[in-house]
Amino acid sequence: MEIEIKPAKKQQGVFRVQGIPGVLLATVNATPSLSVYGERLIPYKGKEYREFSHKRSKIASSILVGLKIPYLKPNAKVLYLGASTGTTVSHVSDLLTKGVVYAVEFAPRPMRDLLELASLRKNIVPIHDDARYPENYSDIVDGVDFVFCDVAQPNQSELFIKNIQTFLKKGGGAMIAIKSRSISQSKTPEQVFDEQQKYLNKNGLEIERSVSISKYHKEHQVFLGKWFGKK
Amino acid sequence: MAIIASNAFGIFLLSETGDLLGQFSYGDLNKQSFLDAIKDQEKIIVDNTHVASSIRENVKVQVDLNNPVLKEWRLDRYSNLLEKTGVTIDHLQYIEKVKAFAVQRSRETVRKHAEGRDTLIAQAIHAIDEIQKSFVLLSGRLKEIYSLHFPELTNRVRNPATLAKLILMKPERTEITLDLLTSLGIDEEHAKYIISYKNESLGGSFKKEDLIIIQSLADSVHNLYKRKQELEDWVTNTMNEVAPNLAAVAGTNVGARLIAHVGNLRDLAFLSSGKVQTLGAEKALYKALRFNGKTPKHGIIFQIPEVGTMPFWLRGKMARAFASKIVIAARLDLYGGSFLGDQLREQLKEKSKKLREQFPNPPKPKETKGTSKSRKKFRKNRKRRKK
Repeated sequence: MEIEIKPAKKQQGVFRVQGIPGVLLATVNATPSLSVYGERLIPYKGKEYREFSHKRSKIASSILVGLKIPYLKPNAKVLYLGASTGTTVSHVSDLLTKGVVYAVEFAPRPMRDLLELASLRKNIVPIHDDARYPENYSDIVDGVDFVFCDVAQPNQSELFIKNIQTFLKKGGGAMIAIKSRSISQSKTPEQVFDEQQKYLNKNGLEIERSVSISKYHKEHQVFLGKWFGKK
Repeated sequence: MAIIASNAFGIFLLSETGDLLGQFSYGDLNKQSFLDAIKDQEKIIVDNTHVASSIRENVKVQVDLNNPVLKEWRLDRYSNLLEKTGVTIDHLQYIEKVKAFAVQRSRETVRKHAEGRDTLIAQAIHAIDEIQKSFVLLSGRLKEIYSLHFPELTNRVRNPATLAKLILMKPERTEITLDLLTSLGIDEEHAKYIISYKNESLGGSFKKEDLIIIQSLADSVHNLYKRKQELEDWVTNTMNEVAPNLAAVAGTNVGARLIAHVGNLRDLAFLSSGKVQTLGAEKALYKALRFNGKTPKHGIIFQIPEVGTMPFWLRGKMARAFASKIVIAARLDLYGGSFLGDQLREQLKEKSKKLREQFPNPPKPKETKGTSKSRKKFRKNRKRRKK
């Protein structure tokens, strides 16, 4: 079967791949001929595309499930909490051709990989700090248009809201991936997601869509919301 | 009241209405010129903990960290910077400068973390475990191979390390002597038995080049054993230096294992004692929490001889006592406190004595009627668990 790459219907900057088994999404490689985490590079019609693995990235799997993230524009500023080694961050940096991504990570081991990635890509600003205390890195991060949070922590909604209150512009979007098992072992996933959604709504984040990505990531739910300032 | 806003370009002192009063660099934080500028203010709004902590150290002023006034400055820092300071710089250059600032700070903190010797201990413990695994695997293979040549010996020499050393020294069975066997710590009875079969063994006689290959395998097995011992010695020494209190209470091995399980000493010291008690038994703990079962009494702590050798009805009590003292010891070590390890250990010994006197007999087993509630729930959820 011949390889064919078309722009994805819903997400700007993301491409749909046909003809390669296991590869569904891709982004245009900002650093040609360099692979970040061992993903496939696909040359097609004069451009090089990088496989956007939906099994490893929660953004990719939620796009695949049908979520549209209008805030990820080429000139957006993005705050990424829980960047880890930079698997998804590298793709976000591909999408933001004129924007910046602030990648926050607290663990030192993945931070070393992230620093190496940041040295190759101009638009990644690495921050080695605890996401629970946004005032620690408030002299680095400017106002942002989009906040993404992927830290598997019991109090992740709390720190997510705290970061939104400190950095997110009015009318900006925020997205959080919640793993129910890291919040409570005894409650069912449905109970956990319900509680988290209520908490987010109460604190002024209007949830626009919530999709389940449990097809690709076990017991995970993604919430996408819009921020209108403090209630 | 004044506002201090900071970013990659430095620290800006603003008045209440937003006018620029002064501009400083991060190096100026402890200098007199900066301190004079803020000395007379009764309240200062600061947007960053790095700046706030250094101000708190030097001047007695009220510091406000969470003021909504600052959000505006934060949200539009770039245009604010242009407006207030008149710096001519385009957006790309601005981002470059911010990035350089962020990278420098991250590199410093990462490097600082890598210098901690407790993380090195954690790595060493993992290395020991992996060496132990491969040692068991390879020594089993070595025994199997050599039993083709001299089965009487491999049946009698049970210690794999001794066997490897013996094969390394004399692979050919006819060259083995009684003195050699006894010098390696093998019983005389066994040694005499082995020697008696040396010339009429059940095993086949091997060519020289075959024996050389077996010898090289024995060499690597022996080396693995030596490396493991070296690492263990190093862990003992380093634990006594880095965490003397913890080493005194829990022992060097268990102490190091606890550190390895959480990652570093700081994280261990910040845990609650209840968590420390079940470290290493996470699977059982979360299973119990999910299905309303019995929570585990001990994890890694079980390896402490005082806990493990306690009768079963006292182990939970002892593990609880140990966990609390371990946390105290870890906190002492983290903040460089004085050496109280022996005292803590003494208290635990007394506790153990008391417990044994108080509860000499096991408790009566509870009568159970039919299947318990938790068991039923456990069975009901089996399908969900398998997913």
